[in-house]
Amino acid sequence: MIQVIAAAIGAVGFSIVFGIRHRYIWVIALNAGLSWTLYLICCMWMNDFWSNLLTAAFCSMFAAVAARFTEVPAVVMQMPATVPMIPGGSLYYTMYYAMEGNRELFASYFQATFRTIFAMAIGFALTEVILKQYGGRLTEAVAKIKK
Amino acid sequence: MSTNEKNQDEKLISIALDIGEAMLRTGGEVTRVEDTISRILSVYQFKKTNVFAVTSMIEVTAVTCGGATLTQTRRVNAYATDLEKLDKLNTLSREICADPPPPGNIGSRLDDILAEKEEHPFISYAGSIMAASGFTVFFGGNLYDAAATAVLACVINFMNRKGIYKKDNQLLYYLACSVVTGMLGNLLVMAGFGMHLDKILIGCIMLTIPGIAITYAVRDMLVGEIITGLLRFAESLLIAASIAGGYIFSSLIIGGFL
Repeated sequence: MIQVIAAAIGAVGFSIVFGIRHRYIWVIALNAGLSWTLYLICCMWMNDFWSNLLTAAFCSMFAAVAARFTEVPAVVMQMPATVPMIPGGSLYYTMYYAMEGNRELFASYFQATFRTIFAMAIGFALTEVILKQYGGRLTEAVAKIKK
Repeated sequence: MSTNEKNQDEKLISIALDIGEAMLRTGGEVTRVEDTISRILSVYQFKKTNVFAVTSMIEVTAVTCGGATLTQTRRVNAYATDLEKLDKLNTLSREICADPPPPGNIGSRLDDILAEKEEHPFISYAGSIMAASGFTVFFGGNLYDAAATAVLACVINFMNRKGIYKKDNQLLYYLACSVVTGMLGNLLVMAGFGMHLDKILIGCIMLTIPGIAITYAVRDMLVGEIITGLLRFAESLLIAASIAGGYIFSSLIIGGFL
């Protein structure tokens, strides 16, 4: 629970760092909180790769829907909200142990980082592919609801 | 085709490139940039447009309604993330496409967006404190650690705002930034302010490490933007290496002298 709140606060912080000063900041926080909750739930059933993949797909889909409601680019909604999942820590340790010459730890962090990165990238790409097919319908549906 | 018309067309391409360049500089994806430029040109009656964009360059070739082929290239040599501006640029391009204004008016509106005055520095400090401290707690640090992270986040934000070394060489900036925060972090923990050095530093690292960039780089490659993806990927690895090098250097200094 603390982690979810911390993730949401961190996402708001990143939104500000990325220059967002707008009413939709709370949507980003909500997205980050929900995504991390989903990740934690997914982790109970499957391994980290699939959890990351599904969470990233959910997060970008949420962002795409939110972007259609608020009429801002989806990337604005998505980028700060994905920060909690980003393997910043393990990317750092990968480079740290590479420089220190510790091969074993380097290899394990390298693997962990790239598993996460690939899982998330596939998740994002999955949403993109789905949106290419059904993005138009989604836009229409949102326009209807807004009316 | 008269010279006048040709000038007008060249100016239009240049304006579309200005908008595209501004989008790239504020963190827009290359597909968005390509899409925006070709849409803008098509509402101004260009017959055919070919746009190619990577993070460091945009190239446009357009066939005018008179049948002439015009090409322009734009080098983009710096980019940052400013999503609010990206949103405004996107709105501008939508408005242009919905109701094309005379080309002369677009330039001034673009300047308005780019020249927006900066808000109070306090907000950016608050943002980086929230981001860094939030992630210190997220990774298992306690409230003392969060407080120590807040101090370091202010230092990072200060260096970022002043742009120390950033103009000369990006990597040098990240190196300097991580040496300073690494040393300060070590000193703070030694002074008893904050308990878990690793959690504090990870919170700070989240502010500077290009984790987002590297993830989006792989996504770019997966959806077919291979050159852009590779450029960002290589850049992110270099930045991550210089940050790690900075922290190793700072712990060597602290370990050697204290």
